[in-house]
Amino acid sequence: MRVTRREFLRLLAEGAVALGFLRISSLVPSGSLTEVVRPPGSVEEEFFNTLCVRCGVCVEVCPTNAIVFADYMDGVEAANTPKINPIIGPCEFYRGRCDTEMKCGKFCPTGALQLISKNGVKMGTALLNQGICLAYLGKECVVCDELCPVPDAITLDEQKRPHFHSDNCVGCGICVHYCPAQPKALTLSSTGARRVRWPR
Amino acid sequence: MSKVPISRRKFIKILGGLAVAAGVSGVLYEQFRPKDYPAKQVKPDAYTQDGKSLVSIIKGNSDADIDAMVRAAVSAIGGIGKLVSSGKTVVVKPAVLTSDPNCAPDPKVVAAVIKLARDAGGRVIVAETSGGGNTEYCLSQVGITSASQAAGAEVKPLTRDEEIPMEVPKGTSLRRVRTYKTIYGADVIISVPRLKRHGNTAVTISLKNMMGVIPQAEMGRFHNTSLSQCIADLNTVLKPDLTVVDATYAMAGAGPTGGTMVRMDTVMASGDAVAIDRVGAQRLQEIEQQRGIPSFKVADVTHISAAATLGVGTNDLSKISIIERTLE
Amino acid sequence: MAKIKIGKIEILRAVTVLLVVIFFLAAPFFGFAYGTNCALTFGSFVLISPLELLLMVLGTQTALMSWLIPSILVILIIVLFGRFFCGWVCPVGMLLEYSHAFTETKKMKGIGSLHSNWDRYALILAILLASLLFNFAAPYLFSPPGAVYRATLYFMLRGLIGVDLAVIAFFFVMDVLAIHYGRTWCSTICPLGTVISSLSIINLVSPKVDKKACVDFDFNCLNCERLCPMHVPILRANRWAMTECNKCLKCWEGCPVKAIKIRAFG
Repeated sequence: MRVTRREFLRLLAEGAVALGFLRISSLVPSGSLTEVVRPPGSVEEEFFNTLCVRCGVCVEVCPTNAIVFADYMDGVEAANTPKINPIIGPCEFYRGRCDTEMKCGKFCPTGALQLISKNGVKMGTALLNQGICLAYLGKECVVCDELCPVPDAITLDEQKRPHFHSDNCVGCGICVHYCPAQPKALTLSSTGARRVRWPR
Repeated sequence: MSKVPISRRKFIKILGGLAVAAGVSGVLYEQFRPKDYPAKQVKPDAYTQDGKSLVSIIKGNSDADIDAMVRAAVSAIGGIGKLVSSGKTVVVKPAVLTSDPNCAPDPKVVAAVIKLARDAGGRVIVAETSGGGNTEYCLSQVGITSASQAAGAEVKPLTRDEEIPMEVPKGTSLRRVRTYKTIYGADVIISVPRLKRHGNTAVTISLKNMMGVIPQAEMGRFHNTSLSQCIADLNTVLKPDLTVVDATYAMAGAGPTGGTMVRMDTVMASGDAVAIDRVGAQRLQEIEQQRGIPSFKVADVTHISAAATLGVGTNDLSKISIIERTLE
Repeated sequence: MAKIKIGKIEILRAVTVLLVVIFFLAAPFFGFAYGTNCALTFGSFVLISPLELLLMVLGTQTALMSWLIPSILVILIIVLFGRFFCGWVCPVGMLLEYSHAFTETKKMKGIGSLHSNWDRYALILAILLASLLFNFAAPYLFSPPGAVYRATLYFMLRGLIGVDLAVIAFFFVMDVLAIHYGRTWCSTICPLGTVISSLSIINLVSPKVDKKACVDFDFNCLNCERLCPMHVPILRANRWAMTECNKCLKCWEGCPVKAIKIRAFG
C-alpha cells in the first residue's frame, strides 16, 4: 500500500505541474473565447482568478440572484468564480438595489470584488438580435427601453424599435432579463467591460 | 432466444385488457386534469346615471388634501357603498412597475382607497405583480407596503400566490390567461393607477394596469402576440369594478418610465375603466399641448377602442358624464 | 451483519460536525455569516483559511493586511490545537471515517507508519509552484470541504449543480476506497491537511503514552496505533509525527489499560 500511495502522489504532483505548463503553452484553454461577465467592481482578470478563493459569499449575498458560478466552459482557471447570469437575475446595483455599497463587493473576503461607485460600473454591454426582437417583427414591445436604468443607452425610433448605444450601456442585464421574446433577443456580452486595477 | 407460445384467446384477452385500461385512464385524466377556470364574472358598471358612465375629476392640493380628494372623487360618482359591504373581499391593485415612486401611484392615494373600502366593511388586500422588478422590493421602495399596512390592508405580492388558468371567452388574441387565486376570488377589484404615458400604448391608466394581476410570463406573452388587443381581451374577464386614478402628478412626454412629471393636482374615479382611460388620456394630451411637450392622438390609442368594441365600457364621450369639482 | 462499535467521543464528534454543517448552510439565510471553510465572513469580521492565504500571497506576490489579519486567528488556533479541524469539523473526513467503520470490526491490519510522509510535501510544493508561476491554484477547484459546502449552498440558493459535481464524484470514489483504506486522503494527500499539520507547532492537545502503564513493549497490543485513523505511530512517536493527530481521541478511548494521557489535560 505504501508503494501505491507514493506512486499515486507522484502522479498527482506531476499532474499539477504539468497542468501549469500546459496552461502556459495554451494546450489547455485558460479562458473562454470571450471573458466572462463579472460583477461590478471586479479586479483585472489576471488577478481575479487568484484572488477569488471560490468561497461563494457573493453568490449568497446578491439580492437579485444575478451571480452564479462559472463553469469549465469559461476556462479551467475561472471555474467556480462569480459571473453574472442576467437570465437568472439582473445586476440592479446601478439601479439602486444595493444602496451605495454593492453587497458582493462589500462582503468579498479577499478583495477580488471591490467597492466602486455607480459611475464606475461597466460590466459589459447588451447586444440586440434584430432578427428576433419583437419590435423589429412589427409587434408592440419596448420593455427594454421601459426598464433600462441608464438614460440614453436605448433610444426608440419612429417605428418604436429600440436602438442600443453600447457606450452608455453599463451591462446590468435588466433588458436581457425582462425581454419577452422567445428565445431572448438580447444577450449580455463582456465587450467594453471596465475592471478595477489591482493592487489598489 | 426461444419464442414463448401464446394462444389466440390469451392474445385477445390481453388486447382487451389494454383497451379497457386505456379507456379508464382517459376518463380519469379528463376528470382530474387541471382545467381552465371559467371566466370570472364581471359585474355591470355600478356607477352610471341615465345610461351614461360617470367619471369624476376632483382638483385639490396634492400636498394636503389627498385623502379628501379621493373620498370626494368616489362619492361624486355614487359612493363606495354601491360596491363594498360588510365582509366583502376587496383587492386594491396599485400600478407598481418598478421601484421608482414616480411610476407608481402616491401611497397616500392607495391608503385613502383602502380606508374608504374598510369604512364600508370590506376586507382589503393590496395585490400586485411588478413587471420590472422584484414585487416585494418595488412595493416597499415606493412606500406602498408601509402605507397600506398602516391603513389596515394585507399586502400580497402576487408572485407568492397560486397561479390558475382561466378562460377568456370573448378574447380575440387571448383565449385563455393565467391569473392568481386571490384575484379570481375577489368580490371587488379597485384599480389604482397613476396617469402616465407609454411607449407602445400611448397611455397606461386603468385598462393597462390590469396587466399587473397576471404572472410575468403572461405579460411577456402579451407582447409576443398583440399588446393592445390582449389588454382589451384581458379586461373582458378581469375588469376593475372601480378605478381611482392618481393624477396628482402625471407622467407626460414619455412613459411608463423616464417621462416628465407634471403637477395636475387631480384625482379621478369611475366604474368604467374604458371611460376613465378615454377621459384621462384626453386630459394628459391637453396638458402636454399646454406645456409644449411632444404629445399623441387620443384616437390612436388602440387598446381603449378595442376594449370598447368588446363591450368592456364606452369610449364615446356622448355616453360619458363628467363630474368636475374643485375642493376648497 | 457485523456490529459497528461507536464510542461516546465519536458520537460527540459526529454531532459537532453536523452542527458545523448546519451552521454553514443555515447562516446565509439568517444573514449571519456567508461563505465556506475557504473564507467565512460575518460582515465586519472575516476568517480566511491558511492554504488559501498562501495561494493568494504566492499568486499575486503581495501580502495584504486585509488577508493576514483574518488568517492570524485561524493560524493561532491551529498552532495551539493542531489538526482538530480534520477530526471535529471537516465533513468529508468524517464521511471517510464512517465508511471505514464497516471494516473496523476486525482488528485493523495496518499500524502507524514511522515513514515520514514526504510525498505530500512534494504535492504541496507543486501546488504552490503552480500558483506562483502559473497563477493556477488547484486547491480552489479540489478542496474537499470547500467543494461540498459550495455545491450544497449553490443547490439550495439557485437550484443549480455546478462543476463541483465532478469534484464530488471524485470524492465519492475516494470514499469507496476509504472503506478499506480509511482516512488515507487525510493523512497522505490533502493539501489543506498538509498545511495544517505544518502549522501545528505547539499542538497542546495530543495523546502521550504512559510507558509504565502500557502493557506492550513487544508489539503485542498496539490498539492505539491500530485505531488511529491518521496512521500515527503513537507509541513510538516523536513530536513531528504527532502533528498528524486530529484529536479524535480514539486511542485514548480504546486503550485497554488506560495508559494514554492527553497532554494539556494533565
